[in-house]
Formats: sequence, structure tokens, C-alpha cells
Amino acid sequence: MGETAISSEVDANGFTIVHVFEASREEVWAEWTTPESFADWFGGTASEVPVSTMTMDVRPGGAWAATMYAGPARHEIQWEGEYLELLEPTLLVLTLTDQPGEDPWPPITVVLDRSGRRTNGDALPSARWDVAGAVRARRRGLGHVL
Amino acid sequence: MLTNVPVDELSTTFAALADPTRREILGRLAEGEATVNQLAAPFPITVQAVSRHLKVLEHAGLITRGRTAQLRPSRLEGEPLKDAVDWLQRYRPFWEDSFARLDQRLHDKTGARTTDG
Repeated sequence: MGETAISSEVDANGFTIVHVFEASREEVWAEWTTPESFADWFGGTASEVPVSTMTMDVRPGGAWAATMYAGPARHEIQWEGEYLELLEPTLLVLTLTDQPGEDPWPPITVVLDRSGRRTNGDALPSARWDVAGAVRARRRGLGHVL
Repeated sequence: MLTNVPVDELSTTFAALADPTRREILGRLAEGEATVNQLAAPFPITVQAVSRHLKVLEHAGLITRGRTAQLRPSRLEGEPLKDAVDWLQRYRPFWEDSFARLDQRLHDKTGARTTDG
């Protein structure tokens, strides 16, 4: 492999991870919005999410939930959240929390654009988790795409 | 780890930050202190509504307000926001690990599609 550009940046309001994938935006979008796919990569290799625990209502205001077994001790974590904005295959804004019933955490903004420089890959998703500036980040992301 | 995060301490901060108007107000205050009227100017809402937002922000400790009876300029307080950002950043490795796995998945798919390499 070794063809992946990754940057991970902390700023005053949160952090942004930029990752070039060898895939189309549509393929990356499907990874975020298909239960079988999301359950496999969410949390990385150290965690397991059984597909049977995964629910997704992929539309604005729709909920998602998953049960994760994290680490060697397989500590059980209940995840839940809400989709706030969807603009296939470009923009996905969602919330998540592992404290169901508590106040929601700040939303994560996922922007899929085509500024990646690989010959095969044209997706450069940046995932931004921003405490205070989610709205501004969203505008910036869209402005970059349009 | 993902457990034992001090969400209780932060829930007031997050609830205050959940509103887009309040986030915009904080953005304005990041440039310097301002009165209610100055803060209300860019919004299509009443000064009273902005006052209510300021009360929420003040309660969360995100801003302080001057004691001058008439103007009471609001000032951004960085510490609660910094605590919230510090907490959020504990999840950065989680997402980096997730994307590494996503990368692997997509790579495997591409490999399967173009077996000639």
C-alpha cells in the first residue's frame, strides 16, 4: 500500500483528520452508510461491532446505534447518534455519543472531495470534529467542494 | 480510553454549544468583548433572544459579563472551551484507527477488482 496521505491536525476548536483513499467518493460514502461496512471499520481493528447490533436510518434526523466490544477485555460500549445533514456523496454531518441519554456531543463533519492526487483514488475525505465551529467548518467544506 | 470520560462536567458546555446562534456569538467574542446590541446586530432575532443565549453561555462558564449596569459587555472565557476540546481530542486516535481500517477495506476491494495489480 503506502500510497495513503494522512494528516491529523489539532486546532483551537477540535481536530481534523484528512485521509486519501484509493477509492471513489461513492465507495467511501457507502462505507459510512452501509451497516455491514461501517460496523467493520468503526473503532478500527481493536474493536468489534457485530452487524446484528447496528442500526442506521440514513436520512436527516435519522438515528444510528451500535454495540461495540472494545479492546482485549471486550468492554461493551453502546454508541448512538443522529444524522444531521446528508449530501451524497459529498457531505455527512452526524453526532455520536457513548453515553446514551446524555446531552449530545458536538457533531462530526465528513467532507468527501476529489483533491487527492493519486492516479486511481479520487476521494479525500476530511473528518472534522469541532467543538465550537461545526457550522463554520461545514460552510468551509461545502465552499471547497462547490 | 472511551470509558470514564468526564461527560458530566462537560455536558453543560456541550449543551450551550449545541445551538448554532450561540456558536456564532462565541465566534464573535473570540475577536473581542462586545455588548448585547453589538452581538445582536448580525442576527435576525431580538436583543432579548440574544440576552437569553448569553445567559446560557454565562451559566456554562463560557463567557463572563461586565458589571457596568447599562452595557455589560460579554467576554469569552477560554477555559471551559479548552476543557471541551481537550476531551474531544482523546477520541482522535479512535478515529485514526478507524480510518486505517477503512483504508485497508478499500484497498482490499481495489485489489480484488484489479487483480493484475
